[in-house]
Amino acid sequence: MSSSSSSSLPPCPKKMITLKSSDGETFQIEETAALQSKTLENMIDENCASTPIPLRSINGKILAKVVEFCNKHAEVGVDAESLHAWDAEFVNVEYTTLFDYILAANFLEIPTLLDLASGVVGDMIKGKTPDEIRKMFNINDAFSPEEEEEVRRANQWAFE
Amino acid sequence: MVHFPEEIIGEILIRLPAKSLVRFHCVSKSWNANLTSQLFVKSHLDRSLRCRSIKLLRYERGGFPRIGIWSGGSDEFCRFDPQFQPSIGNFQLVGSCNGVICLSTLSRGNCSASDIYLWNPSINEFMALPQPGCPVSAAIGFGINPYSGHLDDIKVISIRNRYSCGSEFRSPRSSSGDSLRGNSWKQIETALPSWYSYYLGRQVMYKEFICWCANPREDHRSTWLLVSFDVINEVFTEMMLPENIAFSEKSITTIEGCISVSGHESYRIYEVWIMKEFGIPKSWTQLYLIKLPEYSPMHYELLGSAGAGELVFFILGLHSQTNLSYIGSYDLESKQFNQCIELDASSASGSCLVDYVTSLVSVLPKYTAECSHSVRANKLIG
Repeated sequence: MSSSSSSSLPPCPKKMITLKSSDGETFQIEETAALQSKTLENMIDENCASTPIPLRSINGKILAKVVEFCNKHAEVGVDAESLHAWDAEFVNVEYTTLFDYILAANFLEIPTLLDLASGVVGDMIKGKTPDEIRKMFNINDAFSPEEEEEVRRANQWAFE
Repeated sequence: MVHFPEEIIGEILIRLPAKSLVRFHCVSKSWNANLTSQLFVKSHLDRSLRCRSIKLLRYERGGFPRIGIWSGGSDEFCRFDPQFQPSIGNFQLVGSCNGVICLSTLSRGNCSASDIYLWNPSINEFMALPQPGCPVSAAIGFGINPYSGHLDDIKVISIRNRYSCGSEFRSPRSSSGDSLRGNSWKQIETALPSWYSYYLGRQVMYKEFICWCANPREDHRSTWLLVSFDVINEVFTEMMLPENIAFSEKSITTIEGCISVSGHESYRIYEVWIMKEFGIPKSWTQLYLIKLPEYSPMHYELLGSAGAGELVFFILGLHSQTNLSYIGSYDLESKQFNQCIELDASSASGSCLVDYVTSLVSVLPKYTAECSHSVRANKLIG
């Protein structure tokens, strides 16, 4: 390897890794962008990222968005304000999609995405009634009406 | 819809206001268990400490003590008064830790009435402690053992003037195994090392130490000392203040995570020192020196630091024609005082500034469900 002729060489090709969604779609992502995911970082460190990485819990639609998020957040020279606006647009989706983002961000360990999506869901649900929460989160171990009334009575101030 | 792993629900819930979380106790059995679990309460507190640490100010106005959130200017200053007990009257803010505030009705002139309350405003819980086993005459101290693994391992000590100093209140948590032994007072054997002629004054918490700055009676000159009580080992320690701080009155607070004392000379020069390494008197370092104009008919008492570059003072007029008192802030860069809140003319003491975080830490005894319900019912009436 000689460095004397480096100026005449084409720029070093960007190192790409391939991700494979649960429904078989593949996505290319630059290694630098992928490093935002601790899960992927570990795989890269252990040289397990040379073949397509199967992500069985994330479908193609969501994985495409996650890749887009990582690419945007790896861009150089984006000022905080415009990134903030971009993020706000990114999470301007149905709550079910936000849940998918949270699950994906949790699996891939992407703290920025986890924080963003959890925060938006938090803002969405903080004013909701327990009944609305049960529907939203598909909860089926509710109290009996009598038990619920008792818990509610003990915390009545929080309903006012 | 997919099953939602618990830790993800936790990620979302941890960002919610305490009031929403209390409401969500009703959602389901698992949510109720999760939201009241030590693990969740701790994660929520850790996040609060990182993101939402605020300063509470106790002051007197309109004939009543009040508690407000310090936000730098009077415009944004909002009230945070204890509303659970209209009859609480004149209370002192003893301290605040893990979102739990300790109030007492002990005042300098009236030692016989010493009702003590634990209060978590975020979750609207309060508890009046049983009467201490001995009359309080020097101070009430409030602390939480930071290493016990329980966030509500609360200790309150009531201190008598001299040798037999006080009893100690332990929260149910602190006596693992036999919970009924907690939530009660017991006599502790250690004594204050010196006789303190004055009420010990404002306390400050530093890790497991409750600290006061006080003047022992044996020495009528000006050898004030730092007195600390270790809530784990239950011992008092006295430490020297900075050697060349020879001022007559001192006040204690925490600045930059260290114990700080300040004092004045002839009401003109104010010094603020910090003890960089707790317990090491050699580590006392002068942090600020504030020189006032030639003549100032005001007395300034440092209440604490309110973030970068801002100190908060209690300011008292020294002459009858300027007998006003107010809370003011001092900008370290511009070296200017700002008058923020005008106080009652009589409120000579009792103002204090404490760190506060919102938390879900319960102050109610865990072992008596009936008792906790009755406390909650009282609160609604109040």
